[in-house]
Amino acid sequence: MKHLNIIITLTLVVLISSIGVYFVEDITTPIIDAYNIRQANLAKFEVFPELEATDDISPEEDYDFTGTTITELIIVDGKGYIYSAEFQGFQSIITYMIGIDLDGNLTGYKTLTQGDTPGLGAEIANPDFYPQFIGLSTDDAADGNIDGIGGSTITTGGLIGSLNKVIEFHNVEFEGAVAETPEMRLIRLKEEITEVGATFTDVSSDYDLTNTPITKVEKANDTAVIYTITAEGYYPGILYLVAFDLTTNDIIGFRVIEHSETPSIGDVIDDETFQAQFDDLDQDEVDSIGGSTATVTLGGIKTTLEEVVIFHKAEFQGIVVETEDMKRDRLWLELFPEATEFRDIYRDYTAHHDIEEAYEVYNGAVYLGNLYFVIADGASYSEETYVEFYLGIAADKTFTGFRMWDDNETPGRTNDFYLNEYGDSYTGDNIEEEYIIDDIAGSTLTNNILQGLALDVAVYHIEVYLGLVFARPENKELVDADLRLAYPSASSFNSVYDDYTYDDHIYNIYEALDGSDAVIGYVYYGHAEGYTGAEIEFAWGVDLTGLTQKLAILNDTESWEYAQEWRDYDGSQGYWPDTPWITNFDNVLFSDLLSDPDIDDVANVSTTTENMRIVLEGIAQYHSDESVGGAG
Amino acid sequence: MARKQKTIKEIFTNGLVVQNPVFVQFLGICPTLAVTKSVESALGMGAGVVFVLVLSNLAISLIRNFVPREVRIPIYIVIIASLVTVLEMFMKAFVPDLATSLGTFLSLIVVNCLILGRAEAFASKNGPLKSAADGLGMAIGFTGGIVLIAFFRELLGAGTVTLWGDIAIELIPADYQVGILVQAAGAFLVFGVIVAQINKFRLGRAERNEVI
Repeated sequence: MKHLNIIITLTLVVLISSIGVYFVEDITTPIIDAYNIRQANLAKFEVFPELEATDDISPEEDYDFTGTTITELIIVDGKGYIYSAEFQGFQSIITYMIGIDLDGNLTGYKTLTQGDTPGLGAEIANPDFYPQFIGLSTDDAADGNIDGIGGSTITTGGLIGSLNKVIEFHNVEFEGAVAETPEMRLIRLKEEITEVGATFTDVSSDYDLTNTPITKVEKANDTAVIYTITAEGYYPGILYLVAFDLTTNDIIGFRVIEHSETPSIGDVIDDETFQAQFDDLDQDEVDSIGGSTATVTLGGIKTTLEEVVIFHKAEFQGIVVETEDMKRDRLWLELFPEATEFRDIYRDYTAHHDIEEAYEVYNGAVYLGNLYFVIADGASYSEETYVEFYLGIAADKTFTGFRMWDDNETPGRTNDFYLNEYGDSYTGDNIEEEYIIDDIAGSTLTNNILQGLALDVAVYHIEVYLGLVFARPENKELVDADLRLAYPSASSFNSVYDDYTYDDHIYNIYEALDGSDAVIGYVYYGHAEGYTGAEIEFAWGVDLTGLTQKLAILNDTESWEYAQEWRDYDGSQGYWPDTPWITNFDNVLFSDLLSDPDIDDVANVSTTTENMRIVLEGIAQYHSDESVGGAG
Repeated sequence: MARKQKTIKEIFTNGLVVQNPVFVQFLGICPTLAVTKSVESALGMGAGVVFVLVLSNLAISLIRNFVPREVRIPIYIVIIASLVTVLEMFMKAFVPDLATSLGTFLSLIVVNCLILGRAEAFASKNGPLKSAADGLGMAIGFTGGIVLIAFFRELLGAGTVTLWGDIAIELIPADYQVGILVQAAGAFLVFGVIVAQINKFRLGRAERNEVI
């Protein structure tokens, strides 16, 4: 009986408590749920104040947002629309949300995420920026009639561009506006640059468009031709149209179909003023296009347009302009006339910092030799310059020739290097012996650099490609008396050149020994090319600390006659080699020569002094690179 | 049992001051330490305890004659737990920010020994009116206790006194705040100092001499 009582009491208490809790839960659950929904969707309630927790705020899934920047659309039944969208800010993707009511007015704006510059673009997330959107008409929003952020044209421009697309989508989907389809727009653009109502005929299949930026060729009424062209701007993916008149062959119009360029910078290419420049443009005046500070974007347009002009000239005017590809093919065949195949082997061998491309050349199955493409630093000290050339090496280890491809050395100085006579002066030279190559007067530095690079390629070919040891020329010897001119305090000398890498400006390297046969320094026996073409031979001593002793000119045919009228060198100071200029290289630290090469070349004898200076600085560098005697 | 029956007023003030649950009985110390970072949450917690304690005392007093001894504790717990559940739902529905700031301590009122303690010690032996008065007195005494601790912790530790939502009075600049007071250890410090002060007045001189 007692147990029964316990059970009944417990059951009753639990039952009554549960019923109480149940009723309270019934009252409070909807309120709690509404609160939770509101918390989770604060931004939506903020941009669309009429929203209530009971409204369906699930995103719509039946719309295509391509090209609209929209990421999410919520249709609030009977109340309006909430859009989430994103755009590229100055340095971050900015996401935002707007509400639009049924009258076509914005109900609010809120930036959701951004990572732009604090104080500038980041102000887009400042709540002070938001109120201006409340009540703004969609027309004003689409036109960008908003107060932008001072100093942040890109961020503001990105927002305006995105708003424009969002509103355009909104108007088409919900306000009955008729959207211009991409096809309609394309036809409109084509008509704008040719003739309204013209018939466009696709003739792409009549032409070989490989290796051109052209994706489509169309004729408009047989009076004009329209090219569709892909170009790369600051961002990839510029697609534009350009029309040529078939009578005058002038450019008569330009329109951008699509691009992803930065708002307010690269996107000016989509601007009427910019496009007006093409309305009647001589086909050879492409380079004159301007009006944009976006050099990269503009460069992308110009480069491709120049290629289109070449194409147009060849196909419609019968003027053949050699393209880069044609030129490359020609140069390769000039170096290997018998070649039928160039097999890329660049990645099969250890890289060399100056060699950009390497090919094995075949005629059928017969190996003819190797073709190397070199891109290396040019001669200028004041700015970065480059030289680019092809060099052929035949199976018998002789050069087949040299062909300059491009450079940006001092304008005009390098013209002669492009001549076949120059390139052919390499032909037949054994790559392991001294090269007999034409010198180009007036461009000594480039000249020396090219010869040095040719040797580098030869060494690479022998040692890396063929896996052999580069046969260096026999060391040339000097008598002690000559060596002592360069190192007066040494009593004997001992050749050590074989311990170090061969350098084409060094004949030999000697240890300078004192009376007890201890090494006190080194003497370089080297040579540089003089003005007359004959070698200037010299010996140059340096002690163990890198301090030079004397630079002794041993043999030359130079003359200072040209210098006689030149300021300090009036002749009374002696003829070469007994001139003060030479003493610039006495008692100087190698490290100073390399870090601060402020020794001027001497006008009127600049070829001699320039050559000497380059070779001597090269030796200082060699001394350090090769750690001669532990230097380095 | 020659004990004089206490009046309702005496019962009420008993909990409020003489037998203050926080400083004299040391009951419900867990929330005392946990939710006294700000005056606002202490007030909220206090209000919750008032609700639960008054109703639980009332309910238990009403059924005290029908409850078999053997299962009285489980039954008290069922009643208290139901009341706490109801309280939690109301708070989440109508004062969600407060519910968030009290967090799990709201549910933990169930195991506040003050509530079960009063049910066992008072409500199970007294009539409904007296039980309600006892519950109210104890709960307000508890509230006063934790608000006092929270006042010192928040004032000295964070420099403010938050009454409700964003209504905070900034009183002490950051340089002069005692950061440790808003940490867990700070609750013990403030608690100890206040108990010491109360004991000084509560206990007679003679007793203090004895202690020494």
